[in-house]
Amino acid sequence: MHEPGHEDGFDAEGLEATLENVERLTAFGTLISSLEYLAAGKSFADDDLLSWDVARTRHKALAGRVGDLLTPLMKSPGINVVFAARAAGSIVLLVPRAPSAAKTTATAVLTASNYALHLRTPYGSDGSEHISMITYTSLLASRLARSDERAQQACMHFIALQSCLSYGVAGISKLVSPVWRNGTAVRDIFRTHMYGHSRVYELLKSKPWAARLLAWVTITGETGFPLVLVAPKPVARGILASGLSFHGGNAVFMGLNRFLWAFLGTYPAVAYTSRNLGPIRGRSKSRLVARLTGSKR
Amino acid sequence: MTGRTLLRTALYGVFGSWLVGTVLCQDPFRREDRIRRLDQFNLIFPDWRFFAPNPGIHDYHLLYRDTLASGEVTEWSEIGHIEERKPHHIVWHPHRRLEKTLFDIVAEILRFSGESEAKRDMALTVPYLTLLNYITHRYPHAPNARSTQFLVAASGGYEQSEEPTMLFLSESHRLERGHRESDGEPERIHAERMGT
Repeated sequence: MHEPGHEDGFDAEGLEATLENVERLTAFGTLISSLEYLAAGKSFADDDLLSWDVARTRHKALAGRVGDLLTPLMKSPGINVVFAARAAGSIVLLVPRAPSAAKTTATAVLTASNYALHLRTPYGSDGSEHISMITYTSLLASRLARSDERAQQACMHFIALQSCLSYGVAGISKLVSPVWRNGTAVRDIFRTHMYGHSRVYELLKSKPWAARLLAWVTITGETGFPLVLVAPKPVARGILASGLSFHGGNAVFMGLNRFLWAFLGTYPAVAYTSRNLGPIRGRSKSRLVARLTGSKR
Repeated sequence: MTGRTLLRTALYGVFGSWLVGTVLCQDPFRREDRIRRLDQFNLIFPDWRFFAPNPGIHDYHLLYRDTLASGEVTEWSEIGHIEERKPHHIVWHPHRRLEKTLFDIVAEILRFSGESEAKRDMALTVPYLTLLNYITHRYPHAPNARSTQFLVAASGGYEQSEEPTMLFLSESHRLERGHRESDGEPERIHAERMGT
């Protein structure tokens, strides 16, 4: 029996739970990121590193009237209002019983500000912001399409495919590189203060086999990640668990803490899209069997 | 076709194009990115080729010095530092944003300086102006300093056996009134700014 308004064959509860889990994990990362921005907010002052007066000269549009309109929110101290709004929006998404309209508004604010901040300056941002842009845009689309479960499902699939693509591309780009295949790339990344770690570097330098092993574990793990979509359940779970530990390790040893929440936030969508982890598949399979056997549900 | 179906089809079209566009600008060898160039503001197509195919294996260092009224030149002072990793950084690492910001600015300066000099007036580029603005106003200068300049160098990071190399040297720029006069060591100023 289907609930009114729910299309045939969709696990509405599974879809709703997936949306909420993506929202919460991503919002938690945004909350931390916004508070970090507020804690180091001096950088946005006119005479500092992320001065709006200098940054806006990057684009003609921003240097002109459009930029003038944005100035109150892009210039310090107004920019702090944007970060405070992002922190507040994240909290709204983290509160389970917040009204749906409030969550939709919060998602819209987070989506728009994500693009606006990236447009303001590309400095200091990274792949975690890009995956967040994709996630929030999809979440906003799914909230605006609440009455259309197929559209909502497409939003989750889009997040999942971009997430799998990110790992796959990262892995293949390493696989084609001789310095990755022989382990020197990973050793030399770890020698930098920016992305490295002194003790890990000493280990990799003294034991080249360990550098090669780490490189190949990374290459294999990243390239093979998209298999989560078709792998048997235990393997798919293992892939997600190894992804989690990969990001945990990157946060601890490489300073990539923002990637942890941004990419972890896509995992519920990846699980939902996965053939053997997603709730939708069981229903679809039953329907297919029912159709093939001519029986009615 | 109902309005809902139409909207859904439009959504499929947007997501499909976005996905195809993303795939097309991920050449693993980073040869030419024609599609990416269409995304002028770098808002649409992510770059998923993390640390590949050839990752950065150097630390960048930003330094500045002043020329005094007497013509003397001060010692180079380094700007910014990278914090040693600590366990709590896994959840809370506000300094990281500043580290990445400086890293990106310096990387862009180096990218621009590698391009044809004739095509680009370096001193009018955003990264150059950003650093000049920052150094002029946020770092201490001697009361009798007449001009300041900065340089970007690369080092082997924890690999001490590798000699640092100078990669970019700015012009010397006249200091106007309003720049920060020296009231302490640059490191102390930096720590004060970061609240550490």
